[in-house]
Amino acid sequence: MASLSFVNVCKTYKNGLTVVKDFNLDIKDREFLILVGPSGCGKSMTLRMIAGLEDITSGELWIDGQLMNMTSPQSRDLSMVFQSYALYPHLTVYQNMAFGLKVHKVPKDEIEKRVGRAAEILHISHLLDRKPSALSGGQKQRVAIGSVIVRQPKAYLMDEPLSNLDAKLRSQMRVELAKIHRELGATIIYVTHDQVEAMTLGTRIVVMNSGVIQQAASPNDIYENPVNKFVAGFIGSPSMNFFPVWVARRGEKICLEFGKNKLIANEICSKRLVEDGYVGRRVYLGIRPEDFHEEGPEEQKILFDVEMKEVLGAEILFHGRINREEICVRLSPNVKAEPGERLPVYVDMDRIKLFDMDTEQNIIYV
Amino acid sequence: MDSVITTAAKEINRDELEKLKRSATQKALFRRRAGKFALVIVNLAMSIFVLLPLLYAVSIAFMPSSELFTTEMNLIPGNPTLENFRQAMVKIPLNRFIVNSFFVAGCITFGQILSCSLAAFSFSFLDFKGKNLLFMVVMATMMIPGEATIISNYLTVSGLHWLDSYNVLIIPYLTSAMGIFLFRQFYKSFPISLYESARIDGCSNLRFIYSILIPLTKSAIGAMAVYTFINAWNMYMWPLLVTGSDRMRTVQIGIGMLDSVDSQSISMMIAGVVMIIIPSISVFIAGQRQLIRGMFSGAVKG
Repeated sequence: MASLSFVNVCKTYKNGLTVVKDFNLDIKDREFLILVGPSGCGKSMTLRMIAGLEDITSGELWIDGQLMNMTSPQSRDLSMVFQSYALYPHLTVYQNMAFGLKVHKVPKDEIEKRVGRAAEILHISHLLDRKPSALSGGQKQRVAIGSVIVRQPKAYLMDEPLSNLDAKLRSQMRVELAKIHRELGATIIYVTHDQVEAMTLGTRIVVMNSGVIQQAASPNDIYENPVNKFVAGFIGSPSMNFFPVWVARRGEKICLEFGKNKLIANEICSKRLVEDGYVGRRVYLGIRPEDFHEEGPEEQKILFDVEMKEVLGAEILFHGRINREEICVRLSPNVKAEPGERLPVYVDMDRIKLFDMDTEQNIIYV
Repeated sequence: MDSVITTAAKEINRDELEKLKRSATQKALFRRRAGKFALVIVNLAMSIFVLLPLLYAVSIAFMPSSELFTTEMNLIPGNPTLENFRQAMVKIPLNRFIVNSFFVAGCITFGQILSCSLAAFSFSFLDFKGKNLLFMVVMATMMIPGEATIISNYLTVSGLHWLDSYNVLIIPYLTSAMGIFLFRQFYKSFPISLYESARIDGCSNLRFIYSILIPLTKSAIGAMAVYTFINAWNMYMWPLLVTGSDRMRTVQIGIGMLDSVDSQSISMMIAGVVMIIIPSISVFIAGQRQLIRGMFSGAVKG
């Protein structure tokens, strides 16, 4: 297994378009690192640069203390699962899994042993004689992972490997992947745009946007303490609600005012807002859908017009508007409200986030 | 009483309905069969019309000259004979010519598949400076007719003292822009992730070609093989120009030799033609499926 290090890595196309900018990151041995971000944010490009499939325009990539910028993909001792599985259609499952080992001239009995073990882990022992065309999507996916884990390379690279699977299979495979990581103790770099995968699988998440790292932290940190409005909005489903609010001093208290709604900031927020000179200015207030409650103190109450509701069984999502801003609220199923009604909800003020209007940085980031 | 009558009426209606259904089905069946039959007849007539010259040539090859030059319409030989074939073999060393043609066409086919697939691999999978420009130059050579360069080519090969040898018949044709183009188009539809996956697995380019690309592009290779073999087998102008002895002549020139002023036997000449079209037709029949699959690959989603 290996540790990786990026130093000021940039990728610019011939037409001058920069897709990865000044990428600095250290990936520890045995880490399950998730690169997450919207389409076109440069996460797949970063993975391809690690694999050696794309040249690095500037900066340095170190793997296990060795500079890898000019090393060919075959000499990097990495393996990669592609979004399209990349199984060789003319070879059987066994031959597909054994291909990389054969290329590396691993003895035949060792190949048999490793393929057998990987097939057992992935529950595909009964499929070894089949061709990829005779496999379902989930089985192909397992074979693709199998052909990667038999190699025992320095690090495993995975490029949205679950994106072609249906929801049920995807959640099953998430569990399998987490198990494999635990069993192999491997360094895995995993690209996805699915934040559920990011939150459940990763030991650390790197959120990217427009080729720039926005935040690299543990899933819990990213969720609880986002560095800026982009990260706060990207992580979490349904995403965080944002409202532009005025910060005003009302007597001893600091209030966040929008329309007729007035929320009193807690002590930590008030202190930070006063210290940083936000009183009398507008900021973004961020509230996650689950941070609204049916009951609470009067000073935390806001009213919103319900436009639609989604009954999910264990909870209900209410979509509506406060003034002109859209809002999504997650409440328990015993809340009775119908579209067209005005619903009072109470904000958990200890969990709100505040973002600078211009820089969109988290004002209460710790 | 009423209900008995209604039931009887219903029974009759049901019987009539059944009869009507049966006759409608029979009519539809007849119409479909008649349509199919008419199509078969039209197809047969068309194929006889198209194949008539070929079939007549085969017939003439077995026909004694006395039967051919009469005022009667002899489509089928009355007394079939192999004499024409024997005479054609005696008149010219046709065996030697066939062996030459096989050897030359075989070498050209092998050489073109090897060189064109490797060139197309670089144009499709590798990234190097001037790739597109170089490909355009290769494609531009297709626009120059072979006849325009034949004199300069002749001067080159004669300067190399290659005249009247296998070298001169084979080496100038070991690659072709058309072949490179055909393979490149085929490789363009090849999933690049397989190449990338193989590279990450530690596979060299040559190993990728040998163990992944060739097995997966058999139909392109088959199409190219049939196309090249038939073209090489039918070469006339170049072999005529660069070979002088019977030792190096190919079959197409051999047939030309049968048509000399002092021996005007049409039946013998046609016997020779029938003999030499057998290999090219066999190659086409053997490889037609590959050829069609190769030519139309990527034309439709599949």
